[in-house]
Amino acid sequence: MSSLKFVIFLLGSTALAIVAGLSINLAIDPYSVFGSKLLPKFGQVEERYLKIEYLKSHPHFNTFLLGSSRIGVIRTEDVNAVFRGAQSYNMTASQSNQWDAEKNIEWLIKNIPNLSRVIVQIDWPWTYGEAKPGYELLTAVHPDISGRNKFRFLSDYLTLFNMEAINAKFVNNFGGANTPIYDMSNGYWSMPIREKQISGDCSYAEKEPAFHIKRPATSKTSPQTLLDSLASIERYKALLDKASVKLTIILTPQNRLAIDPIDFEDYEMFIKRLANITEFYDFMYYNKLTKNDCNYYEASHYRPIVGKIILHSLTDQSDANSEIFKFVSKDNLDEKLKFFKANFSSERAD
Amino acid sequence: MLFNSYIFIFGFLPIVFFVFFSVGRYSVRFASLWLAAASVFFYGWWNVRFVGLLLASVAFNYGAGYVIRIRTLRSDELKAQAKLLLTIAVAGNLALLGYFKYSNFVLENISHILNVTWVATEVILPLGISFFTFTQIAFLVDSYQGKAKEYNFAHYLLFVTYFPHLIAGPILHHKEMMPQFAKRDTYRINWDNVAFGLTIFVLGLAKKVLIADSLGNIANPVFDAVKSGAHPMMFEAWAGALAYALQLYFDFSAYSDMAIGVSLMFNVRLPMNFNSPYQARNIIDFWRRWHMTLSRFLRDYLYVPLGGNRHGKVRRYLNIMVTMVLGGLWHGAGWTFIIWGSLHGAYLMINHAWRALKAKMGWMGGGAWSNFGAQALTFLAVVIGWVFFRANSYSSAISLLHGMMGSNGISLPASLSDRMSEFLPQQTTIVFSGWFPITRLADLSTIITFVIGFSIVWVSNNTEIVAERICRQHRRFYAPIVLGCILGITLLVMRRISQFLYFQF
Repeated sequence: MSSLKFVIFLLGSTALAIVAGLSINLAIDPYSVFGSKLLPKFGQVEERYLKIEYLKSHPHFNTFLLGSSRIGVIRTEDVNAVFRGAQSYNMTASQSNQWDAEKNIEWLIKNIPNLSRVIVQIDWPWTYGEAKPGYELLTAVHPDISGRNKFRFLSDYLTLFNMEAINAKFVNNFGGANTPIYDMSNGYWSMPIREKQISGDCSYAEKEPAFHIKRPATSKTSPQTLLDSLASIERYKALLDKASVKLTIILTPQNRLAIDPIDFEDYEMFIKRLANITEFYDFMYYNKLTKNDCNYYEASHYRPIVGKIILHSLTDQSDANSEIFKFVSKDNLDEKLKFFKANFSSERAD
Repeated sequence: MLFNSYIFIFGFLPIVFFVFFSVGRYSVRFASLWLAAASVFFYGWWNVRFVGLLLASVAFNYGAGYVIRIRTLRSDELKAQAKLLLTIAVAGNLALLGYFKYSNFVLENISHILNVTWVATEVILPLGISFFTFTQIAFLVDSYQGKAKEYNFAHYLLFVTYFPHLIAGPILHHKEMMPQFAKRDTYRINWDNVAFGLTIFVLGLAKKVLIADSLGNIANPVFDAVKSGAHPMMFEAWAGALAYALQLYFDFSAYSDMAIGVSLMFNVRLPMNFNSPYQARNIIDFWRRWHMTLSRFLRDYLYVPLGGNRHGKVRRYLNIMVTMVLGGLWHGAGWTFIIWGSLHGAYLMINHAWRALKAKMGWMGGGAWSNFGAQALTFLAVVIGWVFFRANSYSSAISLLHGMMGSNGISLPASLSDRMSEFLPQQTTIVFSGWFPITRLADLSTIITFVIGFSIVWVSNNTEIVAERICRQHRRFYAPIVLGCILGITLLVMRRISQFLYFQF
């Protein structure tokens, strides 16, 4: 074979390989951004993009739940039942932080005509900002929010062979597997097979390795991350006030193992500053809910039953009889802080 | 502009290639000027502000080299002037490098020693300044020694700015490049060279995109965690250090491969820069295989002028240490680089002493196991050095080394807890939080990346030999198809452009 032929063959097969690669990505559609019909069920879902796309053509909702995947199990039917007149949509998105919440709220105010209530669930702010290293495609924000060219945004998804995402797509479409099922028409995710398996039987928690790790040591959170998150909350609270939209803030009922690493000084500082911005429901401490592993799939995500409990708590601003949350405001801050301090200290004493 | 970018591969390279050979059919001079102009454009793509600095540096060094050459050819008196001019010109180059690269480091240290607060100014390090400065210092010395013979300005401009080597080497000798630019054949398309160059380029690009960047995804989180105060346990610390050792090799050798490959497409042969360095059986051998053109530069323009091995053993060891410390400092303005250089200086001294002892005692080389042990020990020594090279501070490096030694304990998968707990003593440093409790990176892709990486660095030949076999010795019909598929996949995966590690040096 002559050298010229060698070069032509090389470049020709490169072109074919690229076309094949693009076609495979388009057909499998690992993040479901193209709406390909070959594998219709979702695998790893690019929720940020798909939800905004859905809402653009269905702007009739008036109540929105914002937060990371943890709030994703709250069913909108339950929200609608608790809040009269609510037509809710769950905007949960993987690894969502306060930066995401702020950007989404800006978009909602501009694009949802009947917006009346926003419920934000705040995880402990370990991260702030758009970057989610290692998960860029799973967590990329919609081009309407980022200002990116939509074609370039979508072209990213044509050129990536993420084996984990491809595998998830196949498993969900052919395996009938025990993986989350997403529904963009209401935004929440569910695990019906898993729920069926564990419903009324907590023995799974005994076997789940995530619950049996060594108690994580406390570690300081970047002060900048905390301050950035608080500043973001302050900004979106002001935006919502201006638009006469009610804001409800919940601190996530994270599993005890997810609370363990939180440094109490950081926690105290965050709570103090947050209370001066807005009142909120705090589920994030050691309590009946967070200490019971049966309320969680693993140490990170609570089950839908917890979602229901949260919603019912939101109708009650008195926490006098509650064993699972504290309603914190500027006025009762000192009293609540005393409680949290005692709670953290007694739970961590052993 | 980066070699691993779409703009370079689909825009810059084909345009420069076809215009160069089209013009070359009619005028060698215009073709070389075109290539030089394209190279300056390539450099300016990063930051147009520093194009002036690059061209001023080229003009200054060309002028100085020319005058030095003229004077050395005449009387002894003029030769003394030439020496003075050489000293001034080299000092000028070092001053430029010093300002951009070391001024803040020096300020920081002086203010620390004097306990005063001097605000360091923000100095942007011009891309490739270490490389084009060293290339030109070599030219000045070669001019003085009469080794640089040709002084065509267009060719000199091309020699320094030639885009394949401008940003991260290889560091070139005037005498190995100028004759190539002067040859008429260089300006005629040669499909043998295009095919061979393209093969090397494809292998280099794949090394960078498919392997080096994947290794970075393992190394970076570990070093970042250490930087933020975490204390990694043994397996995680080792994974971070080994991943970085592999990443640096694949990243930098990939750049060199791409530079050599692209250059060959233009009929210009660049010197080899890597020759399977992790297969070295001692540190002396390692430095003959790692960043070979820098080693050559340091030997010819630093170690030998310092006296080399000509003034006794003590002086020789001192010269080795000085050369390696300055070599370390060349990589970056920081104590970790100085420690890295010193460590390698010490390694080399030990290696030379060991050799001398072996010769004196009449010990012969060992068998296969001995060779394996020597290679493993060399690799271990190099990895320890890389920890300092990569860490953001001395304390971070020590923290990671502590982790590697097991001082922070060992973490095993939770699934082993039941089986092992009963055998462990009460006081143990073993916990069951997964192989990599901080970064959670222990998955199949991590294992595959390590297996591929180690297989290549320990078993495979270097890229040029592999390319030679694919392209020249056993040219089968499927070879370009396989290469094309590799290139296609690499281009698809190359979604996010990542910088080459050596750009920062």
